[in-house]
Amino acid sequence: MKKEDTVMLISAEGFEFVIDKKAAMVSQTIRNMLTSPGGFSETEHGKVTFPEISTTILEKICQYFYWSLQYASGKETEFHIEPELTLELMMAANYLHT
Amino acid sequence: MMRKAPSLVDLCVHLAIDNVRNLGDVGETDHHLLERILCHCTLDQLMHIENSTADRDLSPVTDKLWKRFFKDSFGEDSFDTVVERMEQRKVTFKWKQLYEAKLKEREEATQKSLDRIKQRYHEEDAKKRTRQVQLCSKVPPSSKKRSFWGGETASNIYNTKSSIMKKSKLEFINSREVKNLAAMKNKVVHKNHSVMSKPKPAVTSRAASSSNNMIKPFRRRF
Repeated sequence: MKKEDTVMLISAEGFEFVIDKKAAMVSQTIRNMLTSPGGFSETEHGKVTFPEISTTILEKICQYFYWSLQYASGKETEFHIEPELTLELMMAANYLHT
Repeated sequence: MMRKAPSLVDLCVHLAIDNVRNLGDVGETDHHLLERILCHCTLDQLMHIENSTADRDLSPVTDKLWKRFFKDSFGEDSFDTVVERMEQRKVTFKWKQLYEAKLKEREEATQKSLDRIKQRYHEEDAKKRTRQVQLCSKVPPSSKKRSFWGGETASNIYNTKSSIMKKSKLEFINSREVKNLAAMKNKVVHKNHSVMSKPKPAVTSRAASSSNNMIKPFRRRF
């Protein structure tokens, strides 16, 4: 993966998730950050920190991004979510517009 | 085929609806998300969620749900009465509070009825018991006069008004059979008495000996 095609998402605990830009753009919020001409500081370094999203949730969100791309390209599988993550994941997804 | 994947928010909302019975504290979840989920709750589930989410007032979302629950639980008439009263007094209460108050009122009324019924049963029971034959601890003394054939005692004979009956009763008592049976009965009674009287001295002297450490009563002295 070339560096230009990836972004780094950082959780509240400081975990760094490096994912494809394409995957990250599934989130409308991240898409806006990365494409906005205004120039968020994130776009320059390709890093976005989410101080309110825990590592477990952020990991699940990244998994969702890839699942979503897969689904859109024809491979329709089920995305399993652990019940105990439901509310937290829902709030994070809401925030990320995804 | 290019189909857009369902949003993560939607996936989570559906999952939450499926698991609504397991929800407790909903924390800081967005109003509009809560609305989508909580409208699928039963009354008990909603009560549990509100009680578990102690730090937050959910009534902006749940008031209309409680209004529906009130109507369903207590009927249109109760509902209309409450609405009228609030309008008259120019006050508004949250429907959850109104529901809880009405429930308490109903429960107290039911409890009172149950207590009244219980009380009635006790009273009826007591009445019945006064008429019942009660077991008492005293044993009637054994009487040698007790007749084998039931009733042919002296008082029975002398109280008889009819002379024919008197004569026949006397004849009966003096008949050989009755005399024999009465004699047998007397013998049996005597025997019982003698048997019963024997263990007494043994018991008392043994008790005495156990406390004084004296010689056992039945041992022979040589």
